[in-house]
Amino acid sequence: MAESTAWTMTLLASAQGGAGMAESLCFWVLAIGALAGAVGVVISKEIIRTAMCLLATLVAMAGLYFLLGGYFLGAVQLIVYAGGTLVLIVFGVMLTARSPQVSFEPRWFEMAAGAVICAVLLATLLHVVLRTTWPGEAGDVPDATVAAIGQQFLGDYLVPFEAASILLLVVMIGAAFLARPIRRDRRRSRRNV
Amino acid sequence: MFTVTLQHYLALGAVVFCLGALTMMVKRNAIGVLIGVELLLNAANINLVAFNRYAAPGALDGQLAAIFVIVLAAAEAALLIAILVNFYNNLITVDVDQGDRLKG
Amino acid sequence: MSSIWVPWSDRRKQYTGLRGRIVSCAAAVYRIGGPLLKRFAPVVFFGTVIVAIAAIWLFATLVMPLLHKAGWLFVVRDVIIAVAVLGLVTVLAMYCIWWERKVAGRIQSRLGPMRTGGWHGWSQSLADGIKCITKEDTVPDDADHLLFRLAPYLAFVPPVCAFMALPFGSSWVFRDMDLGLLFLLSLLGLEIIGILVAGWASASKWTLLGAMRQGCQVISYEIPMGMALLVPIMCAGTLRLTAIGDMQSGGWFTWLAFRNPFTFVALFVYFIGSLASCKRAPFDLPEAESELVGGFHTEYSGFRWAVFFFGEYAAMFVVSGITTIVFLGAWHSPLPAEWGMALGKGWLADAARGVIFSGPLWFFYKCTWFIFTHMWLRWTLPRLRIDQVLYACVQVLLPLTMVLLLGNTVWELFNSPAHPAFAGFSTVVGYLMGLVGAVLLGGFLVIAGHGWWNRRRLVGRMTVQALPGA
Repeated sequence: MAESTAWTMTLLASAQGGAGMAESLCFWVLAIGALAGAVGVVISKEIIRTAMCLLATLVAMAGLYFLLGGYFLGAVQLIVYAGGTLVLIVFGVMLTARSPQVSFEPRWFEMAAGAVICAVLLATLLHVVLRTTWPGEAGDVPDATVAAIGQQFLGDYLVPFEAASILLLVVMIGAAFLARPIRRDRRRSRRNV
Repeated sequence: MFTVTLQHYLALGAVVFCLGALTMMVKRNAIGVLIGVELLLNAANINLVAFNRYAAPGALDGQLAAIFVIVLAAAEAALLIAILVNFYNNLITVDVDQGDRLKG
Repeated sequence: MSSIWVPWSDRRKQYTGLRGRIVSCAAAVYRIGGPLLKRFAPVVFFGTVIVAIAAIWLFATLVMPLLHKAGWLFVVRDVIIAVAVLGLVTVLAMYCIWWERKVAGRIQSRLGPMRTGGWHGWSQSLADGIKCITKEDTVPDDADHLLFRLAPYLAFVPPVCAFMALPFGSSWVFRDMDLGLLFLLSLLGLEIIGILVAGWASASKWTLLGAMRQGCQVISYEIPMGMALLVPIMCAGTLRLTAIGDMQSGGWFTWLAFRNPFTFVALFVYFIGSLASCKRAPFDLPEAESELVGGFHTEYSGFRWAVFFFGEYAAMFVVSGITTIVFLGAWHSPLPAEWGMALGKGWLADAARGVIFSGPLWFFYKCTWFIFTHMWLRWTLPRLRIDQVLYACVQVLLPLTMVLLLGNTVWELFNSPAHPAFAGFSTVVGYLMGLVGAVLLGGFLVIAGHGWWNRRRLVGRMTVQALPGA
């Protein structure tokens, strides 16, 4: 529903010539959603809740892509990331969990060390982001129709496109081979799902 | 606050990137590490698309790069899950701290 | 002072004063209106449908221009439309549940619901809904409480959001997106997560099995579905659903299903994929009552269970909508739309054109035809095993869709003015496929008519005995 609001407000706001209020409201709602999801990923103790917080982040990111004019990209994000990768992650959780609420608690000094390092990284990045004068004003939303993207895929970006398809084939074969069932003699019995 | 500029998107990308890095560092569950990787890639994507919109509005290069990143992230997640299944088959756990067979 | 009998108390509850007057008015309405409703239920039902359509038309022509003028009131318009879509989904789901039980009954030589509300049990699903709302809300002890509560809504929200991009007519669409079809596919893919989380969060091995089977099945069938959709999209050249619909306005023979043999087969491939995507029989392993108790929704009671099934029927409608728009002429009737121009101008001619030639009623009718086919297949075909399901997907449908894509590419490549001989051949084949479709439809109608005409002889008399005390 966030995407629908973003979509509505963007289209109507830009149609009325004033991009300010509606677009910034959508941005703040979606950005806070994405941040809440990311923070939830860090602090949640059960892995399935981590996956659900990731879902929230992914959907909020898709909304932000719609807001930035990348409509095809947002749809691809929803199909591939939220509807594919996340399902894969949830399947991985289901296949490898001993009990429904399995959790590994990190030790406190690991958390502290990680937090310090990431705080330093964040401070550096924010310093760079906020102090640089970036070029360009907010132009009009680019005309990123599906036809234009398709022509770019088969025009300028043909080699990466074909390389990506070969890569996907190789990854499919590799993953199918890696995850094949092996009969081992001394494999301890694991809980039957 | 009322106009959303490029800096807002870049700041959001930076925060999500750092949270993803923190997730990768802190989580002991291998799938948690994978989720952290996905956060990193999403932060990079939002950067790409924001630059496309604000610095180069007529072109589509940022969005296409983001599409390729999504494709590669999906492929990598598939491989990571396959490796994870093997890890679990051999060690009966997904705790990455237990993966120290090559140690010493 | 007026008193009413409340079911949870032994005595009549007394109301005085203003509350008493309100209660007596309500009791009078119930006393008068109840028997009237039971007697004239079909009139009320169809009258409600007509009043709803008239209200939508009035809203679109009178209220929307006012809202357009006052800038920020687009929020009001959007909220009204969102609530209307939610209402449509709820009413549609309730109607489909009743209809499913009637169809199931007829296929099994019985009558289905007959008592609730009078005429053919029309308020059976309303009564079921009230029962579901008043049931005890159980949450298993071991369950993940937050996710258990969240899962039905994760499964319900994506199909409802899909109504945003689904056009009911040329201008009867909330958001006419350039990538409408891709948006719908992405929302249908999000539904899997709700079911997976539901199965996991119930902390039961049966639900987990059901959820994993469902995830497996829906993801696998997304591939032949998407590729089968690519076949007519290649003919249409756009993902915009209104443009695809406008392309098919020339009558029966311009519908994309009858364009060449590849799109015709693609229709059936997409339909089979949609059966699997909505977890309908013969692919209803995730809800297999005879195997898994209830599959992923075993531990859900009351309103949460109802929310799952509202989502399922909404998804059925959306998927049928996609089939209709992309393959079967969207909101156009089998008659060419340009014949409707002869009716002239004015709102009466517009309404007549909407009913006869192209309008939302035709879209709705075709969608309900597909929903009927979903139900028909559910109560006719046995359930497939999971290995049969995956065999059908990967070893039958996937190579078939690849052949279709290749064939259609070659066909459309030569079907251009640069190759006039092939273009002529292609139009002839188009008419032939249209004839095949007409023959199939006619055959169905003939068989159904024969069955209806001879129903007493074939099935025997079915009588409804009055309950003691009724």
